[in-house]
Formats: sequence, structure tokens, C-alpha cells
Amino acid sequence: MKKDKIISFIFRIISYIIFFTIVFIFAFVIFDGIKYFSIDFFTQFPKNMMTEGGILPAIIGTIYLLTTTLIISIPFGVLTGIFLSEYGNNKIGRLLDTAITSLSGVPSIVYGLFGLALFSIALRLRTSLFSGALTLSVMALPIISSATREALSSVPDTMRESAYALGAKKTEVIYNVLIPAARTRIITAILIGAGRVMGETAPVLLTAAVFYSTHMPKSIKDPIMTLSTHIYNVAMAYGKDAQWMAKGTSSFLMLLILIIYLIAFRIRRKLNAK
Amino acid sequence: MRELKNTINTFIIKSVALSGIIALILIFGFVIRESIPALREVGMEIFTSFDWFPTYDPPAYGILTMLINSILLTIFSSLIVIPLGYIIAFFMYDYAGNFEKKMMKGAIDLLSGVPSVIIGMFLIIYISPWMLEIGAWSSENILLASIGLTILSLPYTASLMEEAMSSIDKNLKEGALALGTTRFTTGFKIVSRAALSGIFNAIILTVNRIIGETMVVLMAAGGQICFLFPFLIP
Repeated sequence: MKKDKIISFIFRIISYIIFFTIVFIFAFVIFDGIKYFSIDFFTQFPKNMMTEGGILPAIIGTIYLLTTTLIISIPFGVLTGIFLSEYGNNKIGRLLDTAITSLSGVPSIVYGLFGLALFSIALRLRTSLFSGALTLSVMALPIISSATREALSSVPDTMRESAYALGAKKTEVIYNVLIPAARTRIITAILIGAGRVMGETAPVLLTAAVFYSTHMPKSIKDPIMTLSTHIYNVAMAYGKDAQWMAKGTSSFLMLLILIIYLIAFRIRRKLNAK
Repeated sequence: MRELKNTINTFIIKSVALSGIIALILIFGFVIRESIPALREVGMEIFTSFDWFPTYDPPAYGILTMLINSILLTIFSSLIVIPLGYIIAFFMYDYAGNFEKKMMKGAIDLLSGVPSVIIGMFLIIYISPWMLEIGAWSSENILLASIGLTILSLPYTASLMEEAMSSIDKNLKEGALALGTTRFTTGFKIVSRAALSGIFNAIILTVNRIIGETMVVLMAAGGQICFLFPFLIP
């Protein structure tokens, strides 16, 4: 029994130290950056070699990119999930299942190279918002579709059977019974996917981002700046004078992502409590 | 009419789902197709040579150094992450009180989504000047990259392992405890053994994540191509 106490104590100490170090690091990044927040920071273009001004183009770029990506990936992801859950009991279903699982394990830089080769070069979209959004959609597809599949599978079979007994066709069951029943879970998955897409750097760097843009993206063929690539560029390529901007941007991006995740987990907790 | 609608809807679902397969095939196809010319031109030298001078004349394209470095970095980081992750998971599973567990789990879930570029930024701006002072040769080195990879993947590993252990039947644990074994023995010898496949799965996913991570390594380890011992060389 004494040995147990000692081990318990050691494990607790180790866990606490690591846990609080990691939490401290992220809290530090947030709070160290918050002091650079100002109205100018959110409404200005970067000026003077990134030493003054703000991050407006990066914010706008991130929002555009996220919206375009979600517009493309939500229908694809949800429909793929429906297929896996409701039509997936055959060879194609299993093949698709393997494909989705492998897709979720592919490193993001490979997605980036894929996007660069296929969308930017082969389809001649160049470095643009659209090619970045397509690349990120391919990335978000496994997240959304596997979550949708799980959500649909967790709907009790009795609901399905009652709907069939009332004479509903298969797709009517799916769209009118299953999807509403699984809605909150699917929304959670989409939020988590959005958080991932927002923080992704490597694929965006390769397919959509520019170092510095002097005007807003006017169409989906324009290149953009995003928060994450902006952090990378500023942290790596500029001197000490510009570092405050990387700190501020990181803090802002981190807050955004934490808020999205908090909403997602709040929804999920409410669902579990029910 | 309803019949027709059903058919159309089914068709839409099926055709969209097939796009998943097509996407995967395209990814593999493209990556392979783009790399074939390189392989054909340079031949086996790519995997067997240490020389990487793509701008020289004649150019040399050996990626062996990078290959070995990736493997080293992965092994080194995994050796830190996996035991620590296991300890945290074990603590959360067995010893932690209700409040402790809730707090840790909540925070870990939140942190597993932190973008890697932020960790890279943190390392390069906050840690690396400090490291220069204690005698590293340059501001970018493998130790830094390892720290970054650890911070990045620890929450992920711990939560996966904890899930694997929690999914084991509670009766097993209670039965062992009722026989008078200590909590540590129960957790370590019985629950962990029962959850072995889940834990292995967590390890594989972690290693996969570490290998594929680009941003942290790009920002923290530098682009210098040379052997990485001792650890403080870029």
C-alpha cells in the first residue's frame, strides 16, 4: 500500500508539472500578445516592413478562406458520411472507409503539395483563395464525414424503423429523420473542422498565401494573407521590430480557435448531459 | 414523384461519396506522378547519398541525411512524448479526483487543437534567444524542434491513451481491486494490458503526427543539412 501512495504521489507531481507548463505556455502566448491589441491593429494594413500597422488583410483572408472551405467541404463531408453510414455495407463502402481513414492520416504538407500540383499548377488556379480552399476542403473532408457517420450510427434503429413503417422512402428517412436527430453532433464536428482549417499553415502557404498584399482579395482567384501564414512570415523573416506583430497575431488566432472549440465542446457536453 | 426524388437523392449521395475515393487516388497519383521524373533522372542516388546540393553544377540530390534526421527527430520526440503521455493518462484514469480529471480533460481537449504555427512562433521568439545564451550554436536546433513536437503532441497522446483505458470494462478493475491488488498494479498490469491495442493505436497516431508535422520543424529546426549530434546543432 505504501508503494502505491508513493507512485501515486510521483505520478501526480509529474502530471501537474507537465500540465501546468503546457497550459502556462499557451496562456503566456495569449496574454503576452493581448497587450498589442488596439483598434489600429485590427483595421490597418501592415506598414513599414511589418513594424507598424495592423493585420486587417490577414483577418479578412482567414474569414474568406474559412467560408469558402466550409461551403465546399460541408456538403461533401456530410453526404459522404451519410453514404458511409446508410449505404456503406458493401465493397465500395469499405473502400471508401479505408480511403477516409487514410486521408485523415496524411500529413498536412502532403495536402499542400497535392494542392500545389493539382489545383495551382494542373488546373491553372495559381496561388489563389480558391485553390487554397479546395486543398483545405480535401483536408476537412475526413473530419466531417467520419463524425457525420458516427452521429448517424448513434441514432437509435427504432427511429429508422418507425419511419420506414410509416412508408417513408430511404432518402426521406435520412433527410427528415436522421439528419435532424444527429444535427448537433454534426455541427460540433464542423466547428472542430473549422478550427483545424483556420490554424493550418503549410497547405495554405503552398497554395493560397502571399507574403504581403496591398489590397483586399477581390475574387476567388486572388491570393490572400491568412493569420497563420502571417505569423509564420513575420516570425521567420523579419527582425526584432516586427516580432510584436507575430505575438499579437498569434494571440488573436489562438483566442479565435479557443472560442470555436469552447462552443463545440459546450454543445457536445449539453448533448451528453441530455 | 416521390420515387423519382428518392432515386435522385440516392444518386447524389452515392456520387458525392465516390469523390472521397477519387480524392485519395488523386493524391497518391499526383504525389507519385510528380516524383517519378525526379526518381528517373537521379536514380537510386536519392536514397543512398548524403549530398544535397540542388543548386550546384552538377547538382546532387541525396535525401538520406534528411531521411535519417526525420527518423532521429521522430524517435527522440516519441521517446519523450509516449512515456509522459502514458503517465498523464494513467494519472487521469486512476488517481485523479473528479475535479482534477474534469479540469485536465477539458484543457487537454481544448489544447489538442492549437495550431502548430503558434508553437513554432513561441519557440522561435521566446525560447530560442534564451537557448543562444546557454550555448546553443544557432537559434534553430533539433532540441528546440523536439520541445515543440512534445508540446504539440502531448495533449493529443494523453487524451487518446486515456480514452483507450477508460473504454475497458470497469468490472475488470473492480475485480482486481477486490482481490487486494494495489491501484498501481491494477492500472499498470491489468487495465493497461487489456487496453494494449488502444494504447498502441495511440502511439501509432502520435508517431504519425510527429512525422508529418511540418511547421514546428520548419520554424524551429532550421534548414541546415548535416548530422544532428550533438543535439544543439541546427
